[in-house]
Amino acid sequence: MKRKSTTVSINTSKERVEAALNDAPSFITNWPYVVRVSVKEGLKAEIMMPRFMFKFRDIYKFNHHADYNSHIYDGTGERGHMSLVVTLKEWQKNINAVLELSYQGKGEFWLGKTLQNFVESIGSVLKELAENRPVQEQIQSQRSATGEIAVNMDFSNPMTVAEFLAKSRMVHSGLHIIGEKGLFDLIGELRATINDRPLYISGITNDGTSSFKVLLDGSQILAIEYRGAEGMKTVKVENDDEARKAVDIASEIKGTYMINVWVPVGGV
Amino acid sequence: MSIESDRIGNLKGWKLDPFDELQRVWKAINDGALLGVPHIVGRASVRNGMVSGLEMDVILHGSEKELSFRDGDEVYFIIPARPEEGIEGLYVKLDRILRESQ
Amino acid sequence: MIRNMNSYPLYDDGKHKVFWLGIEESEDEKGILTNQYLVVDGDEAALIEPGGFFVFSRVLKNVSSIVPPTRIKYLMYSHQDPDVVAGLNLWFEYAPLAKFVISDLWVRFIPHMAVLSAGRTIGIPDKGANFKLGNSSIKAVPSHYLHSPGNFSFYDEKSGILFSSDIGAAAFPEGEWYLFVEDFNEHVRHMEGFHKRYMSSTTALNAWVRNVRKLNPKVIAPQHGAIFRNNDIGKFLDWLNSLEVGIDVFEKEFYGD
Repeated sequence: MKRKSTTVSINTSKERVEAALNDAPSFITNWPYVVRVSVKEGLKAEIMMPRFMFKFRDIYKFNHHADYNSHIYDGTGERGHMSLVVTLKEWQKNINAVLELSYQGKGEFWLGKTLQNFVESIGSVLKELAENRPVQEQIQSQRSATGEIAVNMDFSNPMTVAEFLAKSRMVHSGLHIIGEKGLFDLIGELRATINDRPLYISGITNDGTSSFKVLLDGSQILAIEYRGAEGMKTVKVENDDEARKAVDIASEIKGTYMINVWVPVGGV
Repeated sequence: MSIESDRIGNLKGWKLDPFDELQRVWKAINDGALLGVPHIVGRASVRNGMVSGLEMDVILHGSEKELSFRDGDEVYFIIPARPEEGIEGLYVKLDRILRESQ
Repeated sequence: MIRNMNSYPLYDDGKHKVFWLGIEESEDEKGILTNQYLVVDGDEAALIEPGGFFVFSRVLKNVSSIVPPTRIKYLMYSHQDPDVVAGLNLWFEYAPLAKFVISDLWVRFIPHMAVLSAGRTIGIPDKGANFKLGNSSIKAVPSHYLHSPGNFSFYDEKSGILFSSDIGAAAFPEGEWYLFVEDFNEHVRHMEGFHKRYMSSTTALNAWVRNVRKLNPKVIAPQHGAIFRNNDIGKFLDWLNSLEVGIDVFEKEFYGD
């Protein structure tokens, strides 16, 4: 039997890591080289490495067991047996997950480094599933402090708006008529003349009964708030579902608005 | 049109949503702009550097006037408001005046 | 909900590589999973069917783990459906050197995506074109009316992989997903309804099959569903040849006698 292990530090709550581990079909679908998953008659997954890399292929039937801090995924294949044990340890604000993968069966002798890569990939997948950070956020974290202020803005917390405005300047002001789903056209027009990546666009009707705020990074909506006759809707985009809601909210905005556009000017 | 925020003073923050309060008077500012120069006039309570109360109304003047003074924990203010600056522009002015008063 | 965030290598000879870039199922499109593919030759890359807004994060992450997005030379769109093009304005930002490749028919629609694309769009003429990628070539193969009136498949000559757009699309039954077709007869059940209703013309389908047989691809990789390899390619082309689709099937039903 070959055993390989790895440890990953996951920057989220234990509950979120547990949720990712308890959803065994999703977790195993995301293991490397998984090319087929079925939950019809128990959980079955086919792992196949491309022929030009390593000849390895088997269909495993997985069982998932969990106790208070560990999860076991026991896979019985036609040519071998694969087992993954994930043990969670809380360390300060992070969760450390220790993953140990063992394999016994065909090709076992050749699988040393491949198995190590395999368990490390599973560790990365677990981290990604638990943290569920959109890639835009990861890219933005490498950007300037001005970008970070923008990323941290959450319209449900007016203080984050205040913080943003404290280091911003207004670069455009004007009355705009927004047609059906026309906010995207307006954004396109503004983008044509304003080069700054983060943009804060606010709009308010003359009578103050409708207003919106949109925070953009490039073409992406990071946060949106819309107050209309039906009340207030606010989304800070942190995953695909929220991205979809933000687009839905943006599509609702129409009418004549006084528009102001702000961009960050730097500093802390 | 260009407004740039320049934060000075010892104001630490707001315990209420200033944008909500400004939105409430926005119609009066817009309507007033057709007749004269609208101003927000009112008072803010500032305790331990935090704005904990804000009352204001909209009045019209023939020209822009800006004035503020402090009386204990209260800051009284009159600030010209231009519809084209938006709520955020007015907030930046109000925030600056409250900071300067501390 | 099926979601696979990994990429999978389909071809690698050291200099030329092709990757499948993961899948995810949206709540509104149960079973209809969109595939995206990346072709890399030396320092240049082509992203085939970049996909809609909701898959952008995953596709960008997987592309970035293989090549920097600045190396993407072409973003290749088979047609104008939202699940193919809706992420275009995001790719505009993240792949700043890439050209958008799409049928000439759809070039004028790109500004509607809130993208100022002047100078960055290549319209493919109806008869197709070749696109040089590093030391390799990707051929835009006419696939008009299958299903869009301006539609192309893309053939990567070096790997022999034909990216077939919606031709070969399949909807998986709930709780099941596979990357490669293994049981063709079973897989047909997941393709048939889609092809009959979405493909416009039997004549167009037969013309496409005739043309593809000449190319003799080693792999056929559709935008939805599973990938065909080995003997399943012949079975798939034969099956397409046997199909009646689109208006040829539905004329009476839709318009009466």
